[in-house]
Amino acid sequence: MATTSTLTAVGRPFERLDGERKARGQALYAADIELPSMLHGRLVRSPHAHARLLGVDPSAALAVPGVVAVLTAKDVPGRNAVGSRGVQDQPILVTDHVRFLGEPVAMVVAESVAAATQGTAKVKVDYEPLRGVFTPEEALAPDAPALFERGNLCHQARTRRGDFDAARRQAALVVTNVYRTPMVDHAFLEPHAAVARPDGGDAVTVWVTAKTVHPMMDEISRILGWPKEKVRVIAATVGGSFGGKPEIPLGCLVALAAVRTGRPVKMVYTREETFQTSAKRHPYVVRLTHAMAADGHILGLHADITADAGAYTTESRAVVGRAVGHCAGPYYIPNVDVEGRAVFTNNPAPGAMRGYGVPQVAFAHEIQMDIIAARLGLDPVEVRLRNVLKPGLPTITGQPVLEGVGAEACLLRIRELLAAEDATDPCPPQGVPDRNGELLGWGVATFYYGNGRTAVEDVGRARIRREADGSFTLFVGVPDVGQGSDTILAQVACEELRVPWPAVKVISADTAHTLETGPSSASRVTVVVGRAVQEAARRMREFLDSGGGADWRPGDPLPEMAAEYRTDSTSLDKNGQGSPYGTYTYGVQAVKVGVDPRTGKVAVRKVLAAYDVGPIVNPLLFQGQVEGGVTGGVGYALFEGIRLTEGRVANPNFHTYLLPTALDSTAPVLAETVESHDGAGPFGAKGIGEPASIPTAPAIANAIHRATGGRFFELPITMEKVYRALRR
Amino acid sequence: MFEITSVAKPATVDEALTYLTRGGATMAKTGAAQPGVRLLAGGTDLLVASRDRNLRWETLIDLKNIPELHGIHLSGGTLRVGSTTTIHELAASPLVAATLPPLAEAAGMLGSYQLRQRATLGGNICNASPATETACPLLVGNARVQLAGPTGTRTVPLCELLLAPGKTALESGEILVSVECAVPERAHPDLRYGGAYIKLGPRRAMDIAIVNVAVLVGLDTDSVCRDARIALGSVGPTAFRVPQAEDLLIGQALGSNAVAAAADAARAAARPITDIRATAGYRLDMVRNLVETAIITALERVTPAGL
Repeated sequence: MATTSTLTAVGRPFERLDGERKARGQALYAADIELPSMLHGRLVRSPHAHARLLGVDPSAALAVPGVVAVLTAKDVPGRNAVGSRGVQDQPILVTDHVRFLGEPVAMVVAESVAAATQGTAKVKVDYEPLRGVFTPEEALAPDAPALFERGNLCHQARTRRGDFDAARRQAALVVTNVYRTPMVDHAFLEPHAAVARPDGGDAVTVWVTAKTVHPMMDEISRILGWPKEKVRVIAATVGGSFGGKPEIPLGCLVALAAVRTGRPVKMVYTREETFQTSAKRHPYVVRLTHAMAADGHILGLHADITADAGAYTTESRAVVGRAVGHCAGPYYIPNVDVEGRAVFTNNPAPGAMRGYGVPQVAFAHEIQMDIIAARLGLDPVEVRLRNVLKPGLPTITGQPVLEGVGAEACLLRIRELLAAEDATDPCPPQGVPDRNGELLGWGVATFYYGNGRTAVEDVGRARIRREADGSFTLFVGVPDVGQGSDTILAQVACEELRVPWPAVKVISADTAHTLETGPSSASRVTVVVGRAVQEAARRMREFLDSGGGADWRPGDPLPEMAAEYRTDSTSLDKNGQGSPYGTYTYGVQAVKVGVDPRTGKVAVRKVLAAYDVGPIVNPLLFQGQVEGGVTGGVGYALFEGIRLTEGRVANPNFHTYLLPTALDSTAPVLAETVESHDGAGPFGAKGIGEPASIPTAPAIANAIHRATGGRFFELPITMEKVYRALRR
Repeated sequence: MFEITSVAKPATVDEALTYLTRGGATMAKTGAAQPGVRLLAGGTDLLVASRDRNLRWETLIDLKNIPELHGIHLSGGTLRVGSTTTIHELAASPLVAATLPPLAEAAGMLGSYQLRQRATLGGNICNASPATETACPLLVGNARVQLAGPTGTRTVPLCELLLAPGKTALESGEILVSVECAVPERAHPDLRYGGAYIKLGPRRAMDIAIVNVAVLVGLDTDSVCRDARIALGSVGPTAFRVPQAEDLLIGQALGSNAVAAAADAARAAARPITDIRATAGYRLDMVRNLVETAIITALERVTPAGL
């Protein structure tokens, strides 16, 4: 483990700064915000997944007592199109073309939620239903109805290197399989909510539940046709993100309603609305072909990846781009031919979710590795060791792996830990129950994950101010979405300022006070924003050490330092070659499962993990991330899946959409780190947010195989599927 | 948006019956019609359904303030549970654990801890879900339900009360007062009993069952089975007993063959459907496997002879 023993703040298990506030119920979430004379919004949503919108008549709704206004697309003064990452193709209120079920057609604003809800039932909407497309195959058929003029192909990305066909010809073994992963929901505890307050006639403040505020400010200013300075966006306490939030149309709609009515407006989605209409993890179909040498080396990889992009682009381009670059896993493969695409359908649009396209491909490549090991008669860890990326070798995008990378060390450590388990608590042979009647098995999965945004220069910014009392305030543009980023960044600042914990207060995600620094996503905050914080703190310390601020008098401006950090990443060429990330997290998880042969019910019994994640900034938060990530992975592996019927979510609530409960998450999670010296973050740190979750599902699938002999190529692996495999 | 105009809080069953049949004082004032009237116990099904389906109620008659509807009592060899007794009270009751253990087990698996504080036995029965947690153990307890109505009270076997999903034989104007089970060891002092309840769901908590099974077996001093009761849930329109399977156990010294034969008979009696939770075929296999497991567990729990 990289040493942090000389440090006083970084590496310490401090309690999170927001913990007590949340435990006492004092944290203010967006839905908790109450403002004088506040109105409430509810949306009229399309009952059709695909339709022509012929007309909206609000007159009866306006007659409902308490209804103040009904907004339609005609009320949008600016450009009625929002989106992420430069593609704005989604209206906040439908103009003429409904593309998914639940798409907002009108917003009713009223004195109470009840009046607004009554009003929505009275808005008369005329639709002409259209034939919909609900799978990528349907959407790409020649006679498919088009969602957009340019057709239903949302995005395509490629990675090519070497000569896959030649590799295939030389191969002693070729393994091809198709893997399917479902659409899943973030299932944060807090549904989407937003509040807007008009500030005079020409400015507005909006509180959102969000992983990012500056892009939200941009979108609102475009919707209103106002300059950005007139729009202030603040992240309220965020009740979970996991890559989701903000819901961009929601923030824009409350802002528009507040401006139109001249009064504060709040809107809170129901759980059903959140399930039906907000972003999800993309469902993927992944076809992998590995060309293998007899000695277990991978000669070549062919991959074909199709993602259902749903009704709008949202983050699909970048999600598919990341999947294409990560679909090989952390292995050296000289010959690669990968193609990925995202396809529009009339399903709710997926977006960013923990892992950003990588959990899907990791499920595929890690089951492939186990199948290859079995076919070649190798141990599953051994086949990974023979191929794992080592310093100097290129990834499939041609990015050289840096000195100090511990990917191989993670595998070696897991091999040691598994040998120790085998010596003390061995599993019976495959298919043979233990004394409790359970089938047992360990499965492993490894992965790597580029920290930060893909193939763009990722920029972190931060500002530090010394207060009159000698304490410090750190201003960062990213909200703490529950992962503890405020605490992590304060630890970095304390360390660099060489002041005792917790002498730094954090103000995060308020466009009036913080600099744009990208979203709280992509496992980037500790690394990219952390480096900017470290640099700002270093400048402040040097300023103060050289006598700066010594002559400060009350009334003088407070001393302030700002800094910016840019990652060492490049764009990709037409063959998908380049260095898309400044640094990568590597890791391995080993999961032990117990399977009840009478029912097929799977229980996770133990989880071991080894990570190359650089030095740990806060061990408590690291353990929390890994336990939370594993729990998410257990849900992905065994329970979760949005069921869609012609674009309608059939399980939009927690009694039909099954998440692991506390009793399903009782397995000990023992996470270690290995020595690592290539981290780009402060003090060599790397990101853990998404890496915590990515390997869990394939490790569980491999463990179930070890226990039962059943192979599973589609998630979730329900107990009924396991039972059927056992009967075969 | 669901609406409740008024909530009546009667203190006696008679008062509640008055609200239910004639509208009562509050309702007379508002001139409410009877269709807008409904009994409210824990509300864990009714209020959620009301919200989901935008239901409107003129009057909800809250039964929770009626002392005679509440509590767990043992007298004359009969366990009597009042209809507004909460599921948590059932799960935590030493009396229930001692007299009808599968009921205590099942109650502890219903919903979540929070839900169990609120949900009631009567509400759970009258909601008549085929997957309900309490029906199978009560059926193996030979439960009878006491109903109060405008013309007096009547007692019917639970198996006759449950008709179909959401449907009971409760007549309009009737209230479920209590559930009674003759304690097996008291009814048959010559037998020693063991029981088991199994609920199969994907998770370890907060699940709606894919299959539920309750089993009670009574053995004589020679360990021959003289009483066998098996109930299944989630594999038919209501939870039900399977005499075809029970008969294969009675008169037998229960070895693995007899147990397997009973499990096969239970499978043959099940009429499951395919739904979002599982296919019918899987449910059939689970009935077989879980009945077998439940009988074995029940036998393991039979009080040893001579104690």
